Amino acid sequence: VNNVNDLRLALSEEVRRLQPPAGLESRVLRQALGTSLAAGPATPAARRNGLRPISQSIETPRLMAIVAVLLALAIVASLVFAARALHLVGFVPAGNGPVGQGQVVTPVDFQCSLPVTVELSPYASVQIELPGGMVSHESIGPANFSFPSTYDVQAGRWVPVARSAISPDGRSWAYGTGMLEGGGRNGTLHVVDAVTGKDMQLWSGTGGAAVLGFLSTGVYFVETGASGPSSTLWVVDPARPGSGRAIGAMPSNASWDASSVFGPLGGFALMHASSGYANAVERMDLSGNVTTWFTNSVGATPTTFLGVDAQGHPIIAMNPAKPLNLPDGSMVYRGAQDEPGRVLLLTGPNQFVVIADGSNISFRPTSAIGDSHGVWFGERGSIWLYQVGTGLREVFAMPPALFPEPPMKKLPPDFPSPPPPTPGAPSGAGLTIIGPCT
Amino acid sequence: VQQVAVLGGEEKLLAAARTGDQACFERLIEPHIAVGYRLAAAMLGDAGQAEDAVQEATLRAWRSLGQVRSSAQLRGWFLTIVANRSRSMRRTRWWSVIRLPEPRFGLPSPADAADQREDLSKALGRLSPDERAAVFLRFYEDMSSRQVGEALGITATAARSRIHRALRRLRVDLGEEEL
Repeated sequence: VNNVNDLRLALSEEVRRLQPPAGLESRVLRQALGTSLAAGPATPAARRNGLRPISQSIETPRLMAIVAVLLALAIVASLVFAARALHLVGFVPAGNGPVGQGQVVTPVDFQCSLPVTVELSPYASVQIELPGGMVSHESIGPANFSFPSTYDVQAGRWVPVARSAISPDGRSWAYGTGMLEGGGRNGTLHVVDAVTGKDMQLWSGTGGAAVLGFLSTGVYFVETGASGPSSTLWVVDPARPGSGRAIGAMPSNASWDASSVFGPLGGFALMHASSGYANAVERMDLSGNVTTWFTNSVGATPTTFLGVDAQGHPIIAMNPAKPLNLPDGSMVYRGAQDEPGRVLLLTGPNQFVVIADGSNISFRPTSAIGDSHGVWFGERGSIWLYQVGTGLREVFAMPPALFPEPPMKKLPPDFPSPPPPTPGAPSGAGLTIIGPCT
Repeated sequence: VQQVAVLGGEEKLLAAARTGDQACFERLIEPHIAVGYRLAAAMLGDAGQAEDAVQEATLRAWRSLGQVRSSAQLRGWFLTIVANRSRSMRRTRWWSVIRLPEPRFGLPSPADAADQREDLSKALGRLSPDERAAVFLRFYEDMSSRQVGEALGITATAARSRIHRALRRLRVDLGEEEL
């Protein structure tokens, strides 16, 4: 049994362990307010960072929150009741049909249908016919699904996992259990039939399990124990439950979490500097070998994975780093996320292709997926295509009238007005590519 | 008198900040950034994410400053935003490979493991983020249960209950102290 002094001591040690570099207050104020105050509420950077306008802010009055919770419960209950009544598992598409004509910016010289998620609330799954640009509704996402919620194109169902956890044929998806705060335990790995909802356990272990990727060669997942510093990469064949094979120890110096990507070449993760920004990309192949694929020559930069190409090469977006030295000696990156960044396709260790050099203000992609045509990019209101030889071009724009964004609530009179949108910057509902163009 | 003067000054700062005066807002919020960071760090367990959380909370605080009626409410209100933002970040990070530090004295053998005193740092890591936040605010920041409740958006009774539950899991005996 411990006493309160032991507890205070442990808390002090914990706080000391997590102490930030000097200059926290000035850094926070300048990064949070230095650009945003001047820009006013709901800047593009704030929107990209998930900061919602005041009308949707987390400081909603308590009564509104209670009403929202009651409504959500009613919706969940009615959906569950309806699903049971219909003997269905999962979410059924609301209905198909044309939405309208999109804008063809640059026509492609092939025919295919591109599946896209329109990121409004609730999400909508659509098919964009190319080169004509006709948009067809496929499904409206269930409003009560928790994150992540992905539309499984082949199965025609919304599933509660990331796209990487859906099988290549779309007929099933995988999930793990046992990941707990402070380390996992007694984890299991499951595969679920996307149409029937049949759940089958494939593996169980002493640590928690989290799925990295579902490839034709099996479900790749990481096991993290309740104690000890290492995690293990596993693969299990969904056709042979209990056939799990440990591949190797996961490298501990990179962020193997939801920000990493996984594909036929294995997993890729960001290595972060003390500033919190990434300065390198690490690869772990399907045999457990680890190599550094990319080192940022300009130092740590806000970096994200957009996806992988058809062969499994990762595509990264790097926001421009604008270092600003503060009087206290610390350094911040100021205003960096308001501008377009570089987009690179990493093709091997220290090898990459520059898809965008950061000079095009209209190109700020949030997702990418590769197929036999090239690499597709989704951003607010537009779809872009990169092809070797042809380069990068905008191929499609979604007219705002097809998927209008909800109006922003009027701001209080004593708040600064939002600035006019930057000419040429992406606008409209976010478009995420969710599958190859077929 | 001095305290009244200071309080009066803070009210003036708040009024000015609500009209859009950035410098006044910075003066008001700066003293609370460190405690906001520590709260986020306790909930998230990651220094970089904690700084992100407090940074976004600061921006939200600026945007929503019209909700604050008195400067005396500012700290609890700001911590509420930090706690909400930290919860939201945890939800977004749908899973994470968490590595515990190397045991300081090596792993206990199975035979004597049951007799060894619970390692409080590890036990803290096993609490839920909300439980850890409540314990942190009560025993590190020395807030009252009422203040803890305000910061976490729950009643004082619920805060006391949450702290009690956490202390049971931590095997901490309160002794003469009260919640």
